[in-house]
Amino acid sequence: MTLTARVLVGDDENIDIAFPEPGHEIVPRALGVAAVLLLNENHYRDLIEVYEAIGYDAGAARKHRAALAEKRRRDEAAGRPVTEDDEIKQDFRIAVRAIGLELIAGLFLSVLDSPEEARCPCRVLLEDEKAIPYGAAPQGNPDARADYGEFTVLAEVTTILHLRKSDIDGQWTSAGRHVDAVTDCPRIYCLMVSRLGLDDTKRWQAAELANAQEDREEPEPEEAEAASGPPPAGSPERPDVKFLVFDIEDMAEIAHKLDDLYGEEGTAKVALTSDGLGMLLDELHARTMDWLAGEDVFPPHWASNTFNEMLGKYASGKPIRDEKAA
Amino acid sequence: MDKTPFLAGMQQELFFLPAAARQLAESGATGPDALNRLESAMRMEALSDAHLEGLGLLGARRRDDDGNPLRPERGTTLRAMAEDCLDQMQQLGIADEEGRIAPEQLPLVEDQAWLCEAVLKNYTVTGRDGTARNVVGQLNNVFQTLANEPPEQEDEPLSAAYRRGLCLAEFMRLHFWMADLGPRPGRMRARPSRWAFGDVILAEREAALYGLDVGEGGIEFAALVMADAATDALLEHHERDNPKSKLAAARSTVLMLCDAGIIVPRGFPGGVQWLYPVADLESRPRRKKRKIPPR
Repeated sequence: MTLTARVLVGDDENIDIAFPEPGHEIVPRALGVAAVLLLNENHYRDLIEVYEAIGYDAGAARKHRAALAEKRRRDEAAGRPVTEDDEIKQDFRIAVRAIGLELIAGLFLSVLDSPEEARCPCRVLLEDEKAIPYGAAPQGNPDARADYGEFTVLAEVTTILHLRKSDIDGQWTSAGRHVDAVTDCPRIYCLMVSRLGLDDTKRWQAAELANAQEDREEPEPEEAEAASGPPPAGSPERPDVKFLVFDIEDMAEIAHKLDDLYGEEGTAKVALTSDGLGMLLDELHARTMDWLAGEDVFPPHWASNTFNEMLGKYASGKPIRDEKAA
Repeated sequence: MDKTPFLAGMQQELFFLPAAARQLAESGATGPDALNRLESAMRMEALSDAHLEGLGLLGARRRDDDGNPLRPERGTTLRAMAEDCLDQMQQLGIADEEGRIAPEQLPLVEDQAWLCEAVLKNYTVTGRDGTARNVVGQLNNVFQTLANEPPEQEDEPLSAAYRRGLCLAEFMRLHFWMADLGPRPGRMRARPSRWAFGDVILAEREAALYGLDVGEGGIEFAALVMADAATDALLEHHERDNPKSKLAAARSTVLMLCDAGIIVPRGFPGGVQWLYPVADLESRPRRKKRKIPPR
């Protein structure tokens, strides 16, 4: 397996451009760092660290960093505080907000085993055959998708700082549509990534997960009607859909663990295969649903701690399920 | 929502228009029903956090009295997007005044190339003289004016003045400038020079950079100074157009023009972004700028 993250970007199915450009290698740990930095929504920090960490036009990053440093030096030398006027000017500097977490999520999916294809369908500028993402994926596309042959993993992300319940509802509605749009794969995992994880005290994500999973498991009305008899020949089976909830820090923790186990000096004895990944995701989902059924409160960072513990066992060749628990 | 004189106000997906047109054509809805139909389609298909973040409506620094981020309710946003979508379809000649789509129009709208061409041809700004002028044509005139100057060179920071793209403030100013075109008091009704706006931009850029020592900031520091000066000029000359309230409209319009393959943003997000023409200006069959003969 490779632990160098690379995705195809482009908002048109005919555009398949590798990101980052060849020669720029991103290890999972860098993705973890970048994801956490996004949490503070400080676009200056994004500029100097996040984008460069994920290989986003590093040359341009250096030049812009020098320009902003020069401006700051002058302002400080003049004892000039940041004013409202400065903030207004900053707003007028940005024509299109570039993407962030969706690209990181796409890159993250690309290092979970070696998918046949990992894609972030964002808008891109092509410059000397180099792809520079500049805008979010057009409507109708998931934020990121990776195909592993037997199954597909989608990621639905949001970086909103102060999430409202309606934002969470929107994220799940959007995820549901994107899952429904996958018609070529019988097994789908959909990762829901935001600032709120399962351990959120309001339990918004946990409640949405329970509802979404229940909806998926209930037969469609026409299926229920036909349930007494055998399904008509040629009727498509509903795909097996499993939603998983991570907060951004969970994603970062998993990226760090992947590096520890499968990075250059990784300690893993067993390679992470798509079968292995599918088994880990299935087990994480099963444990999540058990917690939900018990109406227990999830401890902090439960999702990443649980996944990482299983990943550690898997990598060392041990069974991922505790025999006693099983 | 006052988005004048921009193409978009909130709805920023050019390629959402075919889906919207199909919804309207199939339902036959007109007037308020058409808006309801579009709002429903927006709810189902088009609104994502990325849309709102792209417009700066999410993650905004501004806070309300309780210290929460100041951003519109989703329902309000959806309605505004539906109104905007209908207006865009009318501007581009897809729907009539009632929101009716002719059946023969639908296959055309579903052809992306046709849709891009519709933006190219039908996106106009009407001046005070009542003349509707083509925005893409005017944009290309500005790009051509800049391209007539020597190309910028990284080791000559002040050559940033000849950068062949526009910053957002300049892009917005072009729209307000076009909306303001009309007869001047005491003057004959005259057609504005093809190059007039490009010349204004060029002069202001040179003035902003005059005598500038870029220190260790390089050419991008010069570009930053230039972009901030362009914002000052926009706010000073077009205060009554309320440019601050039209940032979302300008950004939405930029995205639609990007989708149409007309412009593309370059530069670093978080730094300054510049809007460049996608098409090769040299290959455009246009007249050259007229040279004033030496006296």
